[in-house]
Amino acid sequence: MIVDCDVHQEIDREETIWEYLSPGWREFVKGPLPAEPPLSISPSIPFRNPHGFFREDLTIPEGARVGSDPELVKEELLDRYEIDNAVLTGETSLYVGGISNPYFAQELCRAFNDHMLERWLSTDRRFLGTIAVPIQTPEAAVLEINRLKDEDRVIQVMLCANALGHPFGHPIFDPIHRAAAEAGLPIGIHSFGEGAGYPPGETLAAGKPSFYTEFHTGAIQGMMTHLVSFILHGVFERYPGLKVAFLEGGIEWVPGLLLRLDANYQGLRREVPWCRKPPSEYVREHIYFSTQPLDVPSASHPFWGTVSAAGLEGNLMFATDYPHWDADSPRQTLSCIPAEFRERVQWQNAAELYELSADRAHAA
Amino acid sequence: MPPNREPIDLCAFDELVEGEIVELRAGGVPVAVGRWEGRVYAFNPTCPHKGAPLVCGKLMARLGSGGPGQMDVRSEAPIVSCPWHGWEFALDNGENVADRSEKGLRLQRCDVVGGRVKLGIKLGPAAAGE
Ligand code: FES
Repeated sequence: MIVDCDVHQEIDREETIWEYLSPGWREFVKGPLPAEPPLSISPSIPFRNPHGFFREDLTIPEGARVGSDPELVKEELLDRYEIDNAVLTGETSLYVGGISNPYFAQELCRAFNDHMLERWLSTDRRFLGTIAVPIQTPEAAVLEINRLKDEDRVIQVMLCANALGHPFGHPIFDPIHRAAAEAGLPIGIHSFGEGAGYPPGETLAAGKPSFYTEFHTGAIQGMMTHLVSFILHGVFERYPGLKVAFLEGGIEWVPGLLLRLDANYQGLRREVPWCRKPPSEYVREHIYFSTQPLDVPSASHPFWGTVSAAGLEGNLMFATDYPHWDADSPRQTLSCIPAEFRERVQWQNAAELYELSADRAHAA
Repeated sequence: MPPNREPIDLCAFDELVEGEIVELRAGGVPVAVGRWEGRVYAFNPTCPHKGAPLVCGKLMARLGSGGPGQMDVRSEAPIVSCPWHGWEFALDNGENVADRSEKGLRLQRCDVVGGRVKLGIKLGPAAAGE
């Protein structure tokens, strides 16, 4: 059994999502000049991969975007690699936090989510859905979570492009934490959202990157910041059942960060006395990480000793990141995970996090 | 210090300054003594983390919390915070406040008798890793 925790489903073209908007928003967005819609659904991202963002071996549907055809995703990913469940995390919808108009962001999230239900989740029981939420307005995000929380195959709430200028553990996001916890849904935090919100926050900690390579390498800084924020704001004390999945950040940065964080907690706990145990304990109990991009070259690499030393074998979940250029292959990647916990990474940890019942876990 | 030994006279209570720590000698062995809200606390003067001199540390109220964002004072006994890395040790039981499973601080019984500070028997290993 294999669970892929990060598959980016896309809309085929911008006009498709217009059909899911309310009539008023649809008319507004279409505008009088088709080439110049007054609001774009895709906030601009300043960096471009010199090779393009997508795997070049994939079939691109005629006139459509990569990753937009469920049949092709089934053929090129699920069937080819015998993947039992794919957690859909969105593509354009990841960056809805970069939409300048907060009311349009709310409407757009509803549209993206309805598109996901109709075009993806209803077509194959292997697909599992993530709720896009308007990060700009947490109370509106709660409405969207509550609208969808009982949908059969919806299993997660997504936070990515950050519009509010605080890492995601900050209490400004408390309504989202609470709604996810009450709904029993994990929060997914996807990498590469830093700097993509509106107004844009910092992309990297030390200043603006110049290159895509710099941006891509430094994106773990954002993940580190969100993780530390969740722990120190006591989010897991407030919501003991809440879980968070860090997606597309890999695992390599985690053991070192936890050593530093635990050490700092020893001396600085006074500042956050609501944290009642060392940070690494909260991480082991509440936080999961997806493998991709896995940079560890083999199962015998010494890095895995640090994962075991940090006790994180139960927190790592396999992901491909289909259809992106830095995607991981199940066969190659899983062979780089030590045999002692390969099954956990391959599916067990994800099944635990997403509470994949036999029904959800089985292929169509 | 072996148990059941006669208490050792350290100093007059009035010589201790409220909120401060001094290092004294008991039978040639150094001991840190702090005064906090009218009571005295005696402890090993060397931090169990990396050996910093706790006489240079601070006595402070032990803080706890009823939940995120709340600050409470959690016990009558203070903590001593290490002058180097800030680890806090509870002076009622020697625990490392941040992590009970970490090294704690060895305490010694200390009483005020007739205006004199008396060092009594060791309370025993108060916390893990002593
Ligand atoms: S030496 Fe005391 S906390 Fe490090």
